Amino acid sequence: MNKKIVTIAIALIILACSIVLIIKFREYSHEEKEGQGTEEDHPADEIISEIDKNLLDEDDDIEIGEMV
Amino acid sequence: MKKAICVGIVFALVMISVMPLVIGDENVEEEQTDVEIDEETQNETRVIEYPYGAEIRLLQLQKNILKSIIKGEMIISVLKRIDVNTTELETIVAELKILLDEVRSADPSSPNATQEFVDLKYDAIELVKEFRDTLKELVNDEIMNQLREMIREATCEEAQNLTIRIRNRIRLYNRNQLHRLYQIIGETNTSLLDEYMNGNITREELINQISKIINQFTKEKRSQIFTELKESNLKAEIHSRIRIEEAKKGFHERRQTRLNNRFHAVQGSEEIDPFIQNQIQNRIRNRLENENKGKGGRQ
Repeated sequence: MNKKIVTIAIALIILACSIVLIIKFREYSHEEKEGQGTEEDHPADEIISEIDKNLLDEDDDIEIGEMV
Repeated sequence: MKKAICVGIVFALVMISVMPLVIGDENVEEEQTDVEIDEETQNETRVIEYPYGAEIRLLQLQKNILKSIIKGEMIISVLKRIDVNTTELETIVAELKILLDEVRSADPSSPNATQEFVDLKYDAIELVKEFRDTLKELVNDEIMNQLREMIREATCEEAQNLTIRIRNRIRLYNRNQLHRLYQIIGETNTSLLDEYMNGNITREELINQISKIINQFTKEKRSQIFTELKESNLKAEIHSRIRIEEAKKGFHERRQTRLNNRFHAVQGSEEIDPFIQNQIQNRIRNRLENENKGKGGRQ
């Protein structure tokens, strides 16, 4: 009797996992299809912020602590 | 019997799942035997990946040490007037001067520039902290506040010249970075960059102009530029992280070597008073002993 309950529980868990996986897979394929053929737009601001990461302020300084 | 087998299997599974965590922890402990480099310093080393970056960082370090020496000397002269024993403070300032010479002779074009910058910066931080802590033991809060006020704007001609030199190098560095962008977007007219270099336009004005140029491009071209920039930034980031990891390795050994070199360099120095020479050597000897104790503990 116990064995049967355990088997049914495991079967239900496997079934639930399979359903979740199928749903996720479908969502992923749908998103991928939507993304195909369209190039993401990167406005100048985004490009500038990428180059800005490597620029330095003219007053840039490092810290070694204060003497007092 | 069946129960025992089940318990055995569950136990084995738990052990297998916990094992990677245990092994992982051991690895972390091994890695922690060397120094941890703070995030600010890690960010500062990023520019070393590009031309002029290492020179800028070493000049900034030089300027900060120089200013600390000037401030230290001002404080010592005030304390001497009120009969405070300044031997320890003088010794630290003398050591800062030796460190300043080391920074001056560091080679920015060296492949180990990151390592050198990190080592010397950490030495500077340590000496400045020691000065601050020693001073705290010597004077009360009221005098401390007066000293703080007195040295707030302290500087010297050499430090001012360094500021100008650093600003010039930063412009060259920024120009180089933007020239890299020009190469990616295929822009050949560099007149804007030259205007920035000559100080006729600010960095913000230059960026605005470049932004206008980029906005005229097609969506595809912008996407290609973005990808190329992102890729090159990512590569620089990875290189920088590798250099940081390299700087962490052997940090304590390199520190011992520097301390040993300082110990010998200070002997017979004409610029340092013989009594202070002796004090510096005692301090270095103590630190070397502490390092060795720490090393014993780390092993």
